[in-house]
Amino acid sequence: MKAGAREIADSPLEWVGGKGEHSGMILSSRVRLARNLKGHVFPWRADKKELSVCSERVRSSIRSEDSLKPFSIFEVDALDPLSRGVLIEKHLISPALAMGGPGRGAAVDGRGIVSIMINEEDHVRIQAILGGMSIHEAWRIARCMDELLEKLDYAFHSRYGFLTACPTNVGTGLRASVMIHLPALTHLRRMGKLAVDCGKIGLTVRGMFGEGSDSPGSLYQISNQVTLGQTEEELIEKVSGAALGLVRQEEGARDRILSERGPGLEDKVWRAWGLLRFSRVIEAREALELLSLVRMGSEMGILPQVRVATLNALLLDIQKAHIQARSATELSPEEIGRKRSEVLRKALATTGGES
Amino acid sequence: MKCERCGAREAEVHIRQQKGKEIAEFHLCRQCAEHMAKEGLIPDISFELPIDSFLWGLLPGHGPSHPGPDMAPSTTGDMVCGSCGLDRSSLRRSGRYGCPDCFKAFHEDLGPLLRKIHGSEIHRGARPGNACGNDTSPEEIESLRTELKDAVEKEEYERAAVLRDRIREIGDLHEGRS
Repeated sequence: MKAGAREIADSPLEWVGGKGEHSGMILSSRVRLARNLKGHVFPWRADKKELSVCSERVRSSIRSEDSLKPFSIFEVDALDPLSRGVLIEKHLISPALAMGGPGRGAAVDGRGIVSIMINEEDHVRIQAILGGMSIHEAWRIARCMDELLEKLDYAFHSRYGFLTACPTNVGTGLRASVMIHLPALTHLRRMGKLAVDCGKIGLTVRGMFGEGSDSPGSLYQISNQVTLGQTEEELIEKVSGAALGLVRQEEGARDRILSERGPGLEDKVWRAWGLLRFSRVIEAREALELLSLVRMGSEMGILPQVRVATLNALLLDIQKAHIQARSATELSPEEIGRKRSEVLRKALATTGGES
Repeated sequence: MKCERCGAREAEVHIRQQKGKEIAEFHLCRQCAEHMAKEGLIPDISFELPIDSFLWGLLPGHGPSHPGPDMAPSTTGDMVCGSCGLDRSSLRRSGRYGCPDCFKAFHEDLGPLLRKIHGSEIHRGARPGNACGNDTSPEEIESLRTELKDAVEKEEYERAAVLRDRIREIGDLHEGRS
């Protein structure tokens, strides 16, 4: 069972590679489509038999598609809790799906771009994640998967569009989101107001870790609120426009901090660099904050250049399930903290030499 | 507007309740609403509802009026979806539909609800290949036209514009095929 979790932790995720435009600030772009099967009750109302029937229909439809051969399909119930934790940290399944139960499963491609969740809130949830500002590309991939699975006969209404269990997803069933790193705007306490402005144009801003507009590691998720009444392209354009706008605002905020308190900023960034490279035990929250400073410092030329891919990978590798999955023994919380600092030291020691 | 029970705090909860032929209206602050719900004077809608089911509370009318085509009265007199058996009060409580047919069964609430959530009730995005145009029955276009008139009459021009776009899109599809 342990080997399973480790294998999942070591499996690739395309976005981590840091390709795509603005991949320094925009970590990833994701598109999710919610779909349901005609003639079946939605998963939350379905009994065991119904869930299995739907699951089998989706699975056999994936298997029968030659282009989807590289996908691995699994039942959540067949996974140990640790493997589920790793999949959640990789955003390949949702915490709700990870609870398991009859017919709950997922299919994931070999490059870690596409995941198809089966019997989550809806029968089918297709998701495509890429690195940097690649939201249009992610939409094309998700739509392509969608068309391949269309023979499942989706529940569709000519007026309301794709029908979903929750009315907030009806229509396109599309949620487009970008994960974006905004440390200078966070430092200048501008995120609250920016989140309100985004709300006015139908976008939601959420902290990636924790709740509210103050997010550890200054990582935020920008996504569309509404799914009906606009075309997919319009929704995606809106998210993309807002994300690029935030990138420009963040650049302005960095310039401002540098010119107003340059020496203080440099000191803060170098201290973060030192802590990450030399500490012997570290909590996840602190690590996230320090990685945020190092990421910004590297992009601003204050620190030696650290590869985006290294920083992206660390966001996953310092998380609890990832650390536990790569250990042969059961770790205590304190041992996790020690392992975490080890992971960070190793990854950043080699990077420093590149400058 | 002040709460009509305490007269001090701002009224945040507005309830219209149909009892037989009479409609009772309440405008209350949260505290008083909670209090009255506990005493059974107003419907017991939880005040810590998740946002989705909270939206249902914003809809006018609590009791069933005209049943949809797939709606049947249950033993308790509440309306249920003929396909999956979901009743209206469960729908409002959970904020989730039970099956694709619920959208027909509870169609009366649907338009206002979708407008509240999305500011629109007409899908303009992608369609499954087999639904492309072929699925749009003459009745559907007719109902869109009726609604367009209704929207213009009510001076809801934004909605009218969307409806007009949609009718035109369907028209293009039909022409493209012939």
